[in-house]
Amino acid sequence: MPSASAERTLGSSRREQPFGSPAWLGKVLHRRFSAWLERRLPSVGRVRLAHRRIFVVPSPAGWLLGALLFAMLIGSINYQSSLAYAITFWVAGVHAVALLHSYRNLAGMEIVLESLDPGFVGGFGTVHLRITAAAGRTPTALRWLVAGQEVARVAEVGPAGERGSLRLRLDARGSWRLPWLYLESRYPLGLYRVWSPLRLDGALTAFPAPRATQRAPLATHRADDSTNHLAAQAADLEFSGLRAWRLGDTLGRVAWRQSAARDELLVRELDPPLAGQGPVWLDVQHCEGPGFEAALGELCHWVLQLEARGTPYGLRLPSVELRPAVGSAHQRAALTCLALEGRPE
Amino acid sequence: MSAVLSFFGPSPPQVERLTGGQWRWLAVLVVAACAPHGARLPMPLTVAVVALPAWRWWNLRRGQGRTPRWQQVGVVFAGLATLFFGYPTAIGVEPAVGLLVLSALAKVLEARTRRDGLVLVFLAYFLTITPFLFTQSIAAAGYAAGLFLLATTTLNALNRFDAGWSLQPLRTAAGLAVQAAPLMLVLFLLFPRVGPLWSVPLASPVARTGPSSTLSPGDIAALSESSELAFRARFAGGDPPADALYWRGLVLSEFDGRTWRRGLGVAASMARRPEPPEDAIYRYQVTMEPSARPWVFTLDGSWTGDPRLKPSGSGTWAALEPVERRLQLDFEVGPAQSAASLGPVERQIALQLPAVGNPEARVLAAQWRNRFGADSGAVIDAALRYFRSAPFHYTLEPGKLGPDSMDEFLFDSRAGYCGHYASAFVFLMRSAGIPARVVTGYQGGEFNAVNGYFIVREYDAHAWAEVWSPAQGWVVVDPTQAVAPERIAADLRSRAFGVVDEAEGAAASLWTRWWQRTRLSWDAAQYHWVRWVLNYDLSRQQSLFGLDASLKSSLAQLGRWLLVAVLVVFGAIALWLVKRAPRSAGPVQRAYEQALAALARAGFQRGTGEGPQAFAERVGAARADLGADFAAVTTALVAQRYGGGTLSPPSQSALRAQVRALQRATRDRS
Repeated sequence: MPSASAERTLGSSRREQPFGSPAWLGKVLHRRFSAWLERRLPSVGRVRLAHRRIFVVPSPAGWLLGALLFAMLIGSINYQSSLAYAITFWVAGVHAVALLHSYRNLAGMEIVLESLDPGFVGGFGTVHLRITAAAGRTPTALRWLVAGQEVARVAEVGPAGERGSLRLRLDARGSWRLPWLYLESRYPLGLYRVWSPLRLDGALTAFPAPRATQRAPLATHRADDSTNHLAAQAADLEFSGLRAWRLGDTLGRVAWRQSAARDELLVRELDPPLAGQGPVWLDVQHCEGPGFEAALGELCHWVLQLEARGTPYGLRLPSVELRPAVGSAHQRAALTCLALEGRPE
Repeated sequence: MSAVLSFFGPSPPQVERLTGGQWRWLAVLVVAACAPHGARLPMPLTVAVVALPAWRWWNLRRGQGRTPRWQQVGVVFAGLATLFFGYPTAIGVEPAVGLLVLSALAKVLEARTRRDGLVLVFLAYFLTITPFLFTQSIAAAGYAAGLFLLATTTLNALNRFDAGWSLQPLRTAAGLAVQAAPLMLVLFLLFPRVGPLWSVPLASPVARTGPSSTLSPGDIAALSESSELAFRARFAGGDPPADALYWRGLVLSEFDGRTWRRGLGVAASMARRPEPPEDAIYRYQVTMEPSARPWVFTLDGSWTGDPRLKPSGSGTWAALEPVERRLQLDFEVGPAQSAASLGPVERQIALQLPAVGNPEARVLAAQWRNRFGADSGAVIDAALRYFRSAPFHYTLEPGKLGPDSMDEFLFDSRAGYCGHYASAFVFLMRSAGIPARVVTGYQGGEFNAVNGYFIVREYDAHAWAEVWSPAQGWVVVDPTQAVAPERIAADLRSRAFGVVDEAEGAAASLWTRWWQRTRLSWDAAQYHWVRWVLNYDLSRQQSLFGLDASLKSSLAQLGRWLLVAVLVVFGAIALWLVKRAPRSAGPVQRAYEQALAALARAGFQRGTGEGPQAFAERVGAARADLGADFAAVTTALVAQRYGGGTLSPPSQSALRAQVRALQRATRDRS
């Protein structure tokens, strides 16, 4: 489950709080609100902030100024001062107009999910976003919040729009749907809190945390077999890994199983076999770690090591087998397999 | 992986510190909010208003973000001690304002975070209205409006993330203030102006010149020549003749040889209550400045039903409580009533004199009495003639007089102001057996032709005599006029304003006339300010909106209208702000639309299916003179729509020039 933070680790990341941190809301109410929010604002990859999506409440400062206005009004009445009335009413007018400006600051803005960078457990996944303001408006002083934590700020959205990224801490292996992101603003006077909950349609992949070991979990006894096996196949198909589908790739080369796991189309990449070092197989059976998760961490570490050395490597997991290859696409495919192993989406 | 958070700035701090730009606004705000009270505060606090923010500023510049706790505590205690010893009482408006100023200054020392900044802005909002406890001038209102704008600016600066200092917050705040103005106006006009909810301490009034309750001319060496405003009076219908403008304040009947007092005359004359006139010949409205005294100045024979006033004897009126705020009072004057008889007690009071003193004056009066007998008119004439023929002169600095002040004035010094003449005259009348009394108040007033009302100032303060005539009742006799018919403060006024009297009008320079005109216009503005802004109250709301006279139904009506009006105005602002089609039309689109409008004048309409290029070609084919310019505008439009680029400034100005050329060309032909 990814959760927020650039600064701090969140202990429990299971909470999803549409209101930031409403302790008073209560769990049941909170679940209901989440469900209602989900129905009201279904997830999308591109969001235009219309009135449906924008929530406005007075901030503590807004309530405080309201109380002050009341005191000023009492003073004006008791001292029968027309000018004090006038200033009091002017401040009250500004309070009211600030409400409209607060709403206007977010309204009409468009947020597009551009891409997602996966990460390792314990590290961060990154969400790349683009914000575009409605024509003629300059949204100012925006905050991004996740689970009640402020994760980023935008001073001003210029006419050309802003690109930026949010880092979400990855607490567990798997592919995680993006959590509720909150775009919040108190501009112009801090009297109202205006926010919009966004459920962007996308998932962050959390690779297992690499776990260094002395010895690679290599399937040596089967290495020869598989090389033969590979050599036998190399005559007609030489592929060194998986990469994202591009225009022109034939359907026959699509790696359907991996594609299904990744939510994107992967094709087998054809490379001339690397000379010199023979391909090796990383096998979960040969891991030394205690338990399955530790084993995956070990495999992850060795995937990174072998990729850095340029040694072709295959990966053998209980539910999937990747043929030996090398290259960034192959590494990505291997890490994705490790992330998703045993975690049906 | 790309640089994390790079576009969204650095990760936010846990406590939001005030930035340099925010500090700059805050420091200016606090000094500006406290400054109007500077003169009223005890001296050390006045210095602190500037010194403490400056000190904090200096420390911040040196990198000392936090003021040591002992310094903060020290400043607070020193401030409290100053307040305690600086004011005679701890309860009151001045110490309370002092406390507010002190808390703002203490907060400046402590302030580090955005939250502290918010508290300071809210304090400043409250401080904005406090000067109105002491003054309600146009200047004070302007200052408060500026302060309000500055506080809103600071509040906006506190809610921005950009660290630098710019004028952008001021522009934003000005926009908010302008948009809030209609709401303010509606609330101002329609909010039910109920009376005070509970009684509150008022600012100590400043002692003013003007008539006091006694008159002892011999004791006053020099009279004030203040040009301070006493009241304004506007007549409905015709203005009375200038010689009728004797604004009666107090009737002084009792004389002890030195001082005139109201004395027993009050009680005696109270027996006769004034009656509303059957038909008024004048109606007028007096706008009294606060005087801290109850006296109200009215023309003879005035009547009012105003519940704030009571009849004060001998046809005068007084407020139930000292006048602490501006009062607007309506009076009506009936036709002169035929004289009723003077009761025995009243007669006795009007003839009262001390048993001894001023023997020479008594002798003079006895001579007249012997000569003219019961013909009081002849005695009065003789007295006035005496003032005229002997070398009396009018002066504001007569010097003090000895124990027999009347004798000394009448036969020796012969120099004095209205008080001397009035009291000497009444003394002579009473000595001659004619009932007489001294009246103090104001005489005349400057007529403001700009707005048609009289301005009565302190230097118009006057004392005159009233003499009982069996035929006409109490008659005004102004002995000062006998001596100085032009008394009229020609002398005084020129000193106060540098204005020359009518007699020297020919010599008055253009500059003088201009200055007089400007002064009258400014006074007119102030009058309307008082009438329409400061004195706007429930009765004015009732007459303006035609409400029922009863309080309850007026309040209910106002409440309903207020609700409706606020909703309508707020809705209109909301529609304009939020629903208004954003200015998507960039400069290019606007230029193209203007060009289309110009072409429409020349008879070219773009067909429904016609693309911009095709239309430009058609225009070019028909009118070569328009074709080139319009083709350029069309190209810019097409480039922007389909090329996605924005025009650089030079080509924007070129675009404007082309549109202007098109507009000129089409206008010439048509």
